[in-house]
Amino acid sequence: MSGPVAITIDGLTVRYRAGAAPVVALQDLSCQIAGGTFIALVGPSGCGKSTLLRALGGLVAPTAGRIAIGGANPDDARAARLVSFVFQQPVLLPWCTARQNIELPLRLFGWSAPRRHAAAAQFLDLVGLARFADSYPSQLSGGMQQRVALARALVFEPAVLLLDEPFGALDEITRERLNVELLRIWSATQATVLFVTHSLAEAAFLADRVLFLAREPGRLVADVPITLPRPRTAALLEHDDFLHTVAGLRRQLNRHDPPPPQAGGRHG
Amino acid sequence: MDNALSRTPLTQWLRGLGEPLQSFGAAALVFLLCLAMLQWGVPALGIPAYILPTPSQVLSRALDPERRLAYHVGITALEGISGFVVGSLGGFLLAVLFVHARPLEAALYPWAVVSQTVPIVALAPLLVLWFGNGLLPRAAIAALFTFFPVLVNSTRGLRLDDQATLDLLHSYGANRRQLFWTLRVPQCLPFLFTGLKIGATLAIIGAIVGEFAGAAAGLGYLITVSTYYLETDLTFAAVSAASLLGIGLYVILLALERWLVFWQRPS
Repeated sequence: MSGPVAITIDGLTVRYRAGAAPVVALQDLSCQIAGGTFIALVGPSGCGKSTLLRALGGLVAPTAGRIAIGGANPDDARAARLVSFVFQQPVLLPWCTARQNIELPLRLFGWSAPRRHAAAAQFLDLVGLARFADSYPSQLSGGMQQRVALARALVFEPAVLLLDEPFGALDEITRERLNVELLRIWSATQATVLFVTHSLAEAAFLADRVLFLAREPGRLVADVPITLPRPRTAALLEHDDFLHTVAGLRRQLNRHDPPPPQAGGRHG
Repeated sequence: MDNALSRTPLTQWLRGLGEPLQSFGAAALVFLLCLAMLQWGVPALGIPAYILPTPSQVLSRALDPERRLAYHVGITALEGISGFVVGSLGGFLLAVLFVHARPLEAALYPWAVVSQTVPIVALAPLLVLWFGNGLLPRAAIAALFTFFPVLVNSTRGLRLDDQATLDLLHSYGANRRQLFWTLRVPQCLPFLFTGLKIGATLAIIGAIVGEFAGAAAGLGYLITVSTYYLETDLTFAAVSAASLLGIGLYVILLALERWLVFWQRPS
């Protein structure tokens, strides 16, 4: 990897047909992302967060608009191994051990066995699973499975990491720990990260910038910088600055996606 | 937990075999009870041996070297197993073709389903006419019986598309061949074995039924001839041997499945 990779999104529109009605998943979305930035994407279900990640990863073709990942279009970026995904589910092959799962992309890329083993060992160590290299996914907890998925996404050192609610299916304690760990790992790379989440606290804790998306049609409605100092550790979660930041994000969210009127009535 | 995690597929597999053995106890008791009733109850009721022979009579007839039971078992096994191998290979390969060429599936799959309404057994005399009165027509019937369950189950297994897994492999730029070998074949294995286990039992039945149509050897022949001469003990010996043959094939496949599909506990 030769340095941070910036992303330019220009007038991105993605439409598809769901049954009879056409759905506008994303409408004219434009945004500049500096290389090495950690972006959190927040918004209600159906606002096109996942579609945006899939478009960046070359899994969905834009209906209109342009995406440039370090100057390359998503297909070329994928071919150049610039981009890597982590999904909400770990999506591990159940017949492969943790090590074999982490080696999967390398095997598909045609790396030699010694190179694969060395890289897998390094990243197993990085996510703290060196002892479980030869365990099968069914023998690992949900959190450990998602660590394997993270190691698999990192193992070829991609410049852009696309995380679609990666810890969303885990319990809160595990999720907090993995977030701290993700920041530790990310700080050692220069990767540009797009992280989809439903949690404002998670967004505030992780990101440099929070992008708010709205739905019908999916579009960008707010772009909020997070100025909390780095490195961020678990201690930050109890800090006043952090709580204020989360409160600020919540005000942003309510402005663009107001809660139903009776929701706050009990207090007023 | 450490212990559980260091378990290899092989030890896991051996442990898996131990569990059903423990639950065999009650079933074995019922089997022994039935044997005892047949051995002492049936003669006590005055039922003659040509209607219902005792187990000891059946056993001694089975071991009678003049009756060459082993030879007939061998013939039926040869027909059944070779038909099973050909039929399951054919079923699996056609499933692979289906998955790679949808139009081919659209053209052929309905006919594969319709062909199941043809009573294959009724084809036996025709197959004898075409292939001569040897092992071949019986193997052909076994193959026809095996073909369909293997085809249906393999097609299902190869086609089991999980969008997230496909997305993941596409994000790594996997081509069709890589997708086939890293995802489709392993995910198909449990389904393939379901088809194979159904097919194995049917293959033995197919071979025997094929032998009913005028064969000169095999368990089907032995059953036809022994009932004609009221040698009911020999009929029972042949029927038992046929069951054991089917069970044997099934158990071999079950063991193979536990070894190959180690990540999934069979239900």
